[in-house]
Amino acid sequence: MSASTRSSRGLASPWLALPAVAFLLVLFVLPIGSFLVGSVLDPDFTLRNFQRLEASRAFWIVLQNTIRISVTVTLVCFLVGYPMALRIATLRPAIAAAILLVVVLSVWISLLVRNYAWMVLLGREGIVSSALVALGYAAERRSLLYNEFSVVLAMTHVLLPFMVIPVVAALRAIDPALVRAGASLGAGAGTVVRRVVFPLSLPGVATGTVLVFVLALGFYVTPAVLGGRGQMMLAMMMESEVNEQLAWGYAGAHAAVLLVVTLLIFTAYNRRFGVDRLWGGHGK
Amino acid sequence: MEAKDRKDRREFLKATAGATALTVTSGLGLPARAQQKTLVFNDSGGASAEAGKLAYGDPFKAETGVEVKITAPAVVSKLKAMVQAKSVEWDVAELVSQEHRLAIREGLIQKLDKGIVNTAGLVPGSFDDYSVVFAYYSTAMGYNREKFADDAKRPKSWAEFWDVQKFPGRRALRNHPVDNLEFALQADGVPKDKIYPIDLDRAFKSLDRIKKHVAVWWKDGAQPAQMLLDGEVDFTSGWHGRFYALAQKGEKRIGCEWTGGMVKASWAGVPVGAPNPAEAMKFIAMMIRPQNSAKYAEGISYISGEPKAFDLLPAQTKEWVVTNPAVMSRMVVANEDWWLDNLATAQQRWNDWIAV
Repeated sequence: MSASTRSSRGLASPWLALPAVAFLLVLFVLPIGSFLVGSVLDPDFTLRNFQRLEASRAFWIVLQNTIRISVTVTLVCFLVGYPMALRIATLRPAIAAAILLVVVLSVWISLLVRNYAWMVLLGREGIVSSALVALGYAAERRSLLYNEFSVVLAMTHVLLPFMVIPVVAALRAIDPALVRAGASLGAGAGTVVRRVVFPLSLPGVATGTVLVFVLALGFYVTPAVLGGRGQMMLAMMMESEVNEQLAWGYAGAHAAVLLVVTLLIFTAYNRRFGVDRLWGGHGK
Repeated sequence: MEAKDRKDRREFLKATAGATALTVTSGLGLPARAQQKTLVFNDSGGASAEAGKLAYGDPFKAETGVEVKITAPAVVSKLKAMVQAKSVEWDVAELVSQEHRLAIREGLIQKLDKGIVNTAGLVPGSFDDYSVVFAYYSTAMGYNREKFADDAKRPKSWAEFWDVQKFPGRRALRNHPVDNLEFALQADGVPKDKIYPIDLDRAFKSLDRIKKHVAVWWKDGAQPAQMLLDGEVDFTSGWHGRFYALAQKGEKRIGCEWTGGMVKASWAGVPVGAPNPAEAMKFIAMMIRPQNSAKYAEGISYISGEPKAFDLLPAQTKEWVVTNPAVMSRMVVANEDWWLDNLATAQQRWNDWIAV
């Protein structure tokens, strides 16, 4: 990087970042900050909310559910989304754009509608259960709803675009010459993907996994509508505290613990995979 | 006869609406802003909002010229946030069951102007200094009629709902202590008049018996009726207006068993700092007027504590209204005081119980 570009960047960047910083400050840092501060004030400093939380058996179970489901959804999104992104990135631009549009289109449909659609498909008298009986795989119709399977499936459906889009972007940024070079040096298609394409697409994978995981942590409607007792997630618990009991401080304590746990997981993930280095190195 | 009355009323409303339109047009010389007053009524949304528009919103505009905007959902937390921020958007707020006590205790709603809101004709318990009941509703047992062609095979009380040997079938209950603890006690043999104060230990012990036989713990008010229609469950607790709304549309498959159900109340009050308190009082006065309350009940089967409103109902709707003595006598009236004092404890215990 030459000296002139560095100095021009240095001049421009603080001002360019201003709207974003102001936006985050007013709409993100302030409300979340005051919510979190509220968890230790009532009206004087107190740790009562956190003591109550520590003693609540339900909280720890629900926190486990939240993390377990979010990790599963992230993994499934990666396993389904990566091959999909690989295919999209190698298609002709017009077809790729059409397929990407279909992927994005699902984001435009109301979450509630997408969740209720699964209820229709997976219900006791739904098409899946009927098909299993008709094909002889099941003796009688049974519901496939209200368990971990239906929650993970519906959440993957909702969150898949957040994995596919950054991965496609990262794959497209790879210089095709590198792929050709790998092939010309005798690597088969599988080896090229494993040793050239995949490592170079890691920034997109990192973005996708973090996005999907963080969004999954806050899910409310899907586990509430498609889950059973074992799929209760933190947002459901906090909703009842905020909306019904007006116990905002207590709900704030939940949020604080979730935030800390998320940051711990992110730090561990970063140590292991060097996410910030990947992002920083993604200068193309 | 009743149909004719209704028709007459419609004609009358049309005439008054025409007259109002005339006055409004003749006043066109005034600055437009003076006429743009809008009253905001916040309710539970969905079928309630549809009924509310026809029964209150449109007639109020016809009578006063004030536009009515109906918003949702009815959550006391938003009311609290607005009052604290001194930026209240609602003129009239629906407060569901124990939440209305909570709103009074937290100082979120103002006293009614009894000069405007005449509570003299209302049944005792359906009004206080701050609010009036505009919608008695209930949580009752819905079932799929098709599955129970033989009526003897379906549970007809909560004790029978709990009896999984004698009444096989897929069951659903609400994922919440409200609408469950009273059923659990009845299932354990507690007589209706001995339910309050609720013995939490006994209620949860009873719930332990049914826990693993419950296929679905519903969270969303639309779920019970939907699950019955989809064949997902055979019987479930649910808010009866949802069953009524479908029956009104000609859906024959859903039945409603009242025995042991919970009668509850939706209250209307004026938030502290409401933008249009004078109009809000007039609006509440209208909500408990017999004609308007009856009109609301025709839409959603929820009614005020005004006996004359009940008398105006078509026979078919009367069967679905909980202030009907034949219905009410089979049910339990929710004790809002108990819930106000014990909701937090019950909720905590419920969360611990349901998650394990």
